[in-house]
Amino acid sequence: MSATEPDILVVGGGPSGSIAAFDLAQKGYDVLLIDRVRHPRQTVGESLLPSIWRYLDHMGVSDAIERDGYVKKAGGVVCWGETISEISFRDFAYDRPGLHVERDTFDLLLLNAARGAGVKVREGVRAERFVEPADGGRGEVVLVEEDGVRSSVFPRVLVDASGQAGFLARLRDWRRLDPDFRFVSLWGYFAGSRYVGAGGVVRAFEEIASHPPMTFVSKLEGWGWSWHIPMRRLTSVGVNVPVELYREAVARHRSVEDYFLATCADTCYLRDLLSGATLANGEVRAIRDYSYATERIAGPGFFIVGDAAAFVDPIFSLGVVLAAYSGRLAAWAIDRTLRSPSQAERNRDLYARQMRGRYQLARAMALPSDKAEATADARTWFDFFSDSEKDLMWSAASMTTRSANVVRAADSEAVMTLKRQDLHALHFL
Amino acid sequence: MDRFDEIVLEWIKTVPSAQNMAGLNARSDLIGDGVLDSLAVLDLVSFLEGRFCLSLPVEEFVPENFRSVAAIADLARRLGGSAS
Repeated sequence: MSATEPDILVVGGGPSGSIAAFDLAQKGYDVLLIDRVRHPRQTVGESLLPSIWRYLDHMGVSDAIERDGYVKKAGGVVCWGETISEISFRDFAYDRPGLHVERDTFDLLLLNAARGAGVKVREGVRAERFVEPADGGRGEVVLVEEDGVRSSVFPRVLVDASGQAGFLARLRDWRRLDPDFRFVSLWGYFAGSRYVGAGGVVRAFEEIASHPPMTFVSKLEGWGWSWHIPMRRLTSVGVNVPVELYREAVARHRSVEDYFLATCADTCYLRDLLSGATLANGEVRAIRDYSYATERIAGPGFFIVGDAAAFVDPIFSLGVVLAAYSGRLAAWAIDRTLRSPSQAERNRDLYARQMRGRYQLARAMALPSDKAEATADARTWFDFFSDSEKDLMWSAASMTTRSANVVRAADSEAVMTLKRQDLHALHFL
Repeated sequence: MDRFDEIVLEWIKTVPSAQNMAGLNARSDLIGDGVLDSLAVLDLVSFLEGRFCLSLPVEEFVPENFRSVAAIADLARRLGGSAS
C-alpha cells in the first residue's frame, strides 16, 4: 500500500470502523485505519443483542469471545412503574444468547481481526480536515500525530467511524441534536452487585457464569430510566435523566457522584441489587446531548457509519449491532461504487435511506412520549425484519410502553405476537 | 420452476439459516422466516447482479422483491437478467 494513497481511510477503530475496514480489506482494497486514542480504551454501550453473532462469526472472532468468557445474557427484565416484565431471547428463534461485554477488550478483538485481514492501523492519530474528491478521484484528509506533526493522505473513500466525536458532522456542522431527547446520562461500574437472572430471580455476582443474567432496566422520573448490566468483573450501572431534572437535582446534592448514588438508591430494585456493592474507583462518568442525527451521512468520497452518523438509545441494546450493520452496509456500497463509479449516487442513496429508516425505528422505541410518526424509510426496513425480529422489537418496546410508537413509525400491518412474561416481583433468594 | 427459479433456489439453500428450514420451496416466506436477513440480502444482490448480468436499481431494494424465490426470480427476469 502507498503510505499516502490508500484506497480507503477509516477514521475510528470502534466496531463500525473495524467491521467496515475488515470487509473492505477482504474485498482486496488497501485500507488505512486511524484512531486518535490507543486501544484498548474504555467506552460505554456494553449490552449486545444476539444478532451480534452474525458479525462475530463473519469476522472470525466468535471462538475468542467464547474463550474469553464474556457474560452471556438471556434477555431483559424491565421494571416500569407498577409493571415488571421479562423477555427471553430463546422465545424469538435465537439459538444463541446476547452478550454483556467490556468494550475495551471487545473492541480491541474486532480491531485486531481487521488487522488480521490486512488493515493497516495507526493509533494516536486524528483527522483534522477533509477535502471531497472531484470527479471520482481522491479526497484529501489532513492527519495530526500526537506530537502535532501534520500530514495528508489521499483516499478514494473516507469512512467516518469517529463515534460521538463526529469528525465530519462537526467539521461541516451537520449534526442535529434531537430536541425530544434532552437527557443526561450518568454511569459508573460497581463491584459485587447482585444481578437479575431468568424468572426475576436475584442472584449473587459469583453465580454469573452458571446462571445467565438479564439486562435490568428501571423507569425513573420524567421518562428517564436506569440500566444494570453485569459483566465478568464489574457491573455497568447508569441513569438517564432529563436535563432540566438533572440541573435542579444536582444543585441539591454535594456532587454529581452524590446525585448518581442517591438516584440509584432511590430506584425500584436497583438499590437492592447494589446494596453491599462498591463503585469502582469512585468514578462517575457523564455525557449530555447524546441523541442526534446527521444531515448527510454519505456524499462524494465519504460514508459516515455507526455513532458518528446518528445515535439514540432505544433501551434495546441496539447500538453495537446497528453500528456493525452500518459498517457492513457501507463496505458493500463502497465496493459497488468503486467497481462501477456510475452507480456512486445510487449506492449512497441506498445507504442513507437504509440507515435513516433504522434510525427512525430506533427513535420510535426511544421516544419519551407517544409521538412517533410514520416514515416511508422506517416502513421499508421494518418489513425486512423476520417475524421473530418484529415480535422481539414490539415486545421489548411494550415493556417501556413504546409499542404503539413502533407500530406507528413502521406504519405496519404486520400481525405481531407479544412474548413477554409479567412478573409480580423480583425474587430475592 | 424455470431456470431463474432454480438458480435462485440453489443460492438460497447455501444461506446458513436456510439449512434447518424444512420444505423450502419457491413460495416460502424467506424474510418472515428469517432465511434472508438484511445482511444476506446484500450478498444476494451481489450474487444476482453477477450471475444474471443485471444491475439492481435502488428503488427495487424493497422487501416485496425478496419475499420468496419466485419473487426474486421475477425480479431478475424483469430487470432483463440472463440465466445462460
